Amino acid sequence: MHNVISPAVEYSGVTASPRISWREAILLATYHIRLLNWWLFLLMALGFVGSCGVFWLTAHTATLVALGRGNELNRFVLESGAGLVASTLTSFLVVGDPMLEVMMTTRTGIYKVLAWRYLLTLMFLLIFSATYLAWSLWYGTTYTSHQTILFILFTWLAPVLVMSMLGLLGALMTRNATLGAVIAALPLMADLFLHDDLLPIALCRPFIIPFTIWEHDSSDWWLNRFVLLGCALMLALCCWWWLRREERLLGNLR
Amino acid sequence: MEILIENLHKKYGSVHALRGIDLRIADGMYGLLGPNGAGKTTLLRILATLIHPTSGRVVIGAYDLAHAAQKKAVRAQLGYLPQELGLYPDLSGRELLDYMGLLKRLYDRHSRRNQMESLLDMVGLTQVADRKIKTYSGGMKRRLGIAQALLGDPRLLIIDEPTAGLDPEERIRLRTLLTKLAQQRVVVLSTHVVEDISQTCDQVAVLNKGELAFQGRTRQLVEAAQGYTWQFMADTPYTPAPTLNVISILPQAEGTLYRVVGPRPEGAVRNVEAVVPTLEDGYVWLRQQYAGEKVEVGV
Repeated sequence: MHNVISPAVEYSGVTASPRISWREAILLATYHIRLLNWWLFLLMALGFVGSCGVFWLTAHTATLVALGRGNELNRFVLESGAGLVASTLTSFLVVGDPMLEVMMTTRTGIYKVLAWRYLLTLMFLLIFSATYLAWSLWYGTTYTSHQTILFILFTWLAPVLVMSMLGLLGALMTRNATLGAVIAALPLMADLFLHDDLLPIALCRPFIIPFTIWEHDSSDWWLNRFVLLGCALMLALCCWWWLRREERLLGNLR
Repeated sequence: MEILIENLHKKYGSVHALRGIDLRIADGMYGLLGPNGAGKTTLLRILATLIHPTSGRVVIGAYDLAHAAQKKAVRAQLGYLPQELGLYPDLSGRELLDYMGLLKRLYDRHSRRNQMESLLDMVGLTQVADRKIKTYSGGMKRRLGIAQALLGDPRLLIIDEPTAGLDPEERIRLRTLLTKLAQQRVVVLSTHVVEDISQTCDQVAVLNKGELAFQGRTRQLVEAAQGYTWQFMADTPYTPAPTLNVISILPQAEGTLYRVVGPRPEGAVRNVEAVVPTLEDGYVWLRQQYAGEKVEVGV
């Protein structure tokens, strides 16, 4: 029999350290990026490129009605579209990871792995969104009558944070990434299909995710954004609380 | 390092997965044996700090797992190979070890990579280290799993069903490696394959339906079946008595050769002789006794 296992069992020691250098942090980030679902990122890229194409066609028809629709499309892409993409991407961050069980026993632990992957995902989403935003502004899109950087940031940030946290929590609780993404999409779908009924109800208005599409110049727009950010914070706390008992992530416990 | 487990219980809803386990595990190789659903994986996951016991105490070295900070200290000394090890198919073996090394906070690149090379050499994967994991055989993946568990030179190695799905040659390779590794650390090996334990462990615990059925030396478990292991010839058709557990049936020219565990066989049998039991016989005898009443052998 060919023995491939070396008789030597002693190996060189290496000491763990609490601080990571920039070089190792970049290497770790590279590995995390490689382990994210590349096909979801590809879909995201195709989604943004497709939206660019549609807007370009709309802009070139050069009628006022068409431009108005183009602006609506851009608000939808930057708000609902980015939120939907964020929820799908974050649902797949750790749930279904083939090495989840081993990862949880490492010194880095599940919280930090999740934080790394979440931030990297947001970074990619931000890059795509910013590129799209620049492109749409170049073509003269009007997001609001008082178009400031802060306004545009919150147009994007509130739905992205609330939907990504909802997707993550859904995936963690169900231990199913697809189900997590579906759960996150439900409130958005409800808002999109029932907005005619929901918008007149004062109690509902702060919770409507694609609020900018219809109410971008409304006086309670900022209230809506801050309530959504508050919801995102609550959901983040729920994720943290859920992960405190790591065993909840492990299936087939018996 | 010593592991002390006191009155450990784990419940999943109404299911009692572990019932009052008391164990003391010292340096070297320690075997956990039991049928599927006995609670072995639950016990290992508690030792690996993945799940919380419902009640009871687990102390690993100087650290009590009840305290979150001490749990982190245990993780610094822990290597873990779970039963169902998934690996990242698009990474190479070397990249996977590099990534796991970073997650174990081995941030000194030069030392980490030196250790990776030593481990790849140890598990015989140096030649294929740059190939994608999806091209690896089952045995190569298990060996890579061992290598990742050994990153950081852990004092405690927890290994769940390491030989599941491996061919005999790979099994022998893994067992040899584990035995060597146990010379410098605690290795807790869980399996339902008795041969894995008999070839590697001096100390063994047998779990049955969440209870500790036996704890002691493997020799004691073998001795328990002394005087209850039989070999005899029988003509076909022959149906052994329900009190006998058949270990093997070997058709021969003059009839069928049976090896059984239980009381002396009677009836239409010939050439009945008591034979020297193996660990498998001892395990079967224990299970047979446990089905009726709890045994006190070695506990």
